[in-house]
Amino acid sequence: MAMASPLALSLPAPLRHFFSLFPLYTHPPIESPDKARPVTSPTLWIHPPWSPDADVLSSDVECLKWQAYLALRGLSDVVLRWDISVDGALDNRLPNLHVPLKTLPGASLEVKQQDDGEGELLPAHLIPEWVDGQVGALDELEGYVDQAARDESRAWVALLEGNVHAALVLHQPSSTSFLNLLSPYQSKLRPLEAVVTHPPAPLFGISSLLPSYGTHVDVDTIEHQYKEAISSLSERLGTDRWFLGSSSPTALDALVFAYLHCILHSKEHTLRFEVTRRVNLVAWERRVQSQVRDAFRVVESLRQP
Amino acid sequence: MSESKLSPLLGTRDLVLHIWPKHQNLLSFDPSSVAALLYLQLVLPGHFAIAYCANPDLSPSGQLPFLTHGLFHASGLSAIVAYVRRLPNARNLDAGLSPVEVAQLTARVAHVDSSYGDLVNHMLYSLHENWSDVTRPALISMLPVPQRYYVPARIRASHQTRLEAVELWDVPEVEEEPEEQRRVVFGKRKKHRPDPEAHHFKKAFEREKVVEKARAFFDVYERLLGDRQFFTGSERPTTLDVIFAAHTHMLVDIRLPDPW
Repeated sequence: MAMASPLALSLPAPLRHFFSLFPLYTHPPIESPDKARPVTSPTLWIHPPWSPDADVLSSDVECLKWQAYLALRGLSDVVLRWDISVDGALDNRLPNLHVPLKTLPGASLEVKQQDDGEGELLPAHLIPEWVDGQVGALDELEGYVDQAARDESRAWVALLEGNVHAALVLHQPSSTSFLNLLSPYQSKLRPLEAVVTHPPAPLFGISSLLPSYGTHVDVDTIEHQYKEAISSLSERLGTDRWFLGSSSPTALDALVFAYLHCILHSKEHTLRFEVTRRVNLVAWERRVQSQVRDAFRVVESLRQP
Repeated sequence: MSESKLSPLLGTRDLVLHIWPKHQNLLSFDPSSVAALLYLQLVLPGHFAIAYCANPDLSPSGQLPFLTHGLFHASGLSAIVAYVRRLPNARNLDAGLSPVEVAQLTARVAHVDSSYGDLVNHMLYSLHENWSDVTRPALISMLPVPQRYYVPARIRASHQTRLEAVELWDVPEVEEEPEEQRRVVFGKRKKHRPDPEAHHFKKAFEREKVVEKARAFFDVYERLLGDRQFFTGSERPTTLDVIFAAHTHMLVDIRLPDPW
């Protein structure tokens, strides 16, 4: 029993006897194998790819979109990791970009010098600003040919993120295993109601006396709009090198690539068939794929031994 | 024919368009219903009938507008447009356009439908004053007795997911004097607490964001239209003009207490 210093008050004897019934053990520190590595190059946290051994492109449209954006803006040697679960990301949404402090555009000199490897975690919407700091900001036209092309790109973004995304969400394989139902950590995917413009009716009708439950999804309309979207996409691409006739890749190209890649790898053959029918889209996607893949490398601990 | 015991409407060969009913100056209460009406009027003038219907459950997909033609039905604006386009006596609105322009038209129609539709739904369903003064009484007047008590709230809740995803849902509005009268409870008037400074800032900021979104959207289409009469420079309106006009009609022709 440790002796108190002579100046401290000592416990009365009965209390000391009582406390000696509950001795204090100090255990040695346990060494954990998980250590946070200092971040020396920008690291993108993404959802895992379909085949982690062979590929570095993510299986999630949102993550793949940002991967393509980084690659097409001209960055190279970006590290990837996919061992972090969605709950660990900012706002519960991947992708996040973990950057060393010295690459932050707005940081002051003192902050950059005291970089101890912890870095800064950026959510997805701050990635363009960071990239501007690395490779130089884009001009007002954002890389498009003229103002009209830039306006048109907004329309194409709306088409992709509305009609095409709705078709992808509709045909996503829903993982309803028993363990998923039991686990308290649900990964929140974007529900269909947030993607479709007109709110779908509840499953039993809006005026039924039963409380609203589920959604009555109009599958025919979504598929029809998807087919029209893909045919107009193919028509607009024609034989251009980049969309809308731009001379260098733009954010719209990253978005189109992400959606095409995910469609071509989805299990649902009606989705895939629409794209494979259009040869120019397939060829374009293949060309961009090799360009995007070259910009990334996987962090060493994730490589299979 | 007439010896069947089915409803007489099933035997007709007429095209019937079912849309939300009229309200004040509006042709119908929903932008896609107005768009369907304008489209049919331009493509098949005089060859169709309108049925005002306030019960979306009659439609096969649960949403209005929907079209019935004999035993065939099409629900939703894009399905209606696709069906009507193939009818033999229908005029083709997009006849003078090249294939690339048709592709651009599809994208622009989707853009208008999503962004402009969000703005219109935001004005009608999200802003509390508009909801309680205009939209809700309108819906109540259209619905029969048991539905009018619970269906409007459900309709409003159904728009919430989408508007929250585009950050157009929870926008605080300008506090005005009439707000005080609603707080009279059991004859006692609740004290009108002045808002703290932070809340003022948030209100101004949120409204500013919505105005920015709307401004960016309208700038794009203003540049596209220029000085011409229709969007693609042709003599006749195309599908894009029809949809844009439908949404603008909703915003312009209804008197809302909280305009932007």
